[in-house]
Amino acid sequence: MTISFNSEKMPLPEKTSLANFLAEHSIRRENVILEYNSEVIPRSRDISGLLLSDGDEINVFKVVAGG
Amino acid sequence: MNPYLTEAQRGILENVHIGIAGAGGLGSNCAAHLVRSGIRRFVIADFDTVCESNLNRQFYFADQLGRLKTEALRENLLRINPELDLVLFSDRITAENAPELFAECDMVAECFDNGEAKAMLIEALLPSGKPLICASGLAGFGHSNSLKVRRIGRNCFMAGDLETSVSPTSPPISPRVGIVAAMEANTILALLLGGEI
Repeated sequence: MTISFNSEKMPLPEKTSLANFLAEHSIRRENVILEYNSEVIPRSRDISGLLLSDGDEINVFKVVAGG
Repeated sequence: MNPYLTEAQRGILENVHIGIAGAGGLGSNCAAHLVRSGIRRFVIADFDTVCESNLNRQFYFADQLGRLKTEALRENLLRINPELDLVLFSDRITAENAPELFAECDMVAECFDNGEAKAMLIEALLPSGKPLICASGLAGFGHSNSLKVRRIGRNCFMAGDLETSVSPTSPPISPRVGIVAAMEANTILALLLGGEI
């Protein structure tokens, strides 16, 4: 299957979970805003059972201090 | 207010309602740009007072030290345009009060300095569907060309380099903070008047 990660297409094995995908990319949820299929996933939500599907869109962006 | 825009463009800007979440280096400068562009109606929220370390980048003056930022900013913005319609909120913005605080706003500029507060506000306001214009990565100096505005998902726009956090070796300094504050204001104008962000 192919997903979109930060607007880039990316092939993935079937039945990859969102949690595993983030772990493989060394993305820690406390440091980022996670958007999955146009929905922001709050850090409090358990995503361990969420399996990715073909065409899914994942956007992750860092929020760093300063203003 | 803005003689360089068409009547139709001025009409759009005069009727829009913008939220400014945080009145520090980003919020005070972003609001000033928007007022000069012709926007009149704002909700401005910040719990803090003006201190000396703010004067290196924030739109305040030495004779305003110790004053609430919301009130000092109102005074300064009214000096640009006395016809503004400003609602001030001088308490902490939380995930609980943010949606109601900015309910009347068409768009909100996230202008906090603290990374966790930024993430809290983004998570709290994105479900409303209204455009949220944010900033991340603006500390230090130089590297002008690494500063960008990205659209993220449906309604989030992020200005900055997404990397450079404030730290002892990378303090917040006027030009780079000012560029990103201007990028937030510029994005709001593009969303309102059309064209590329």
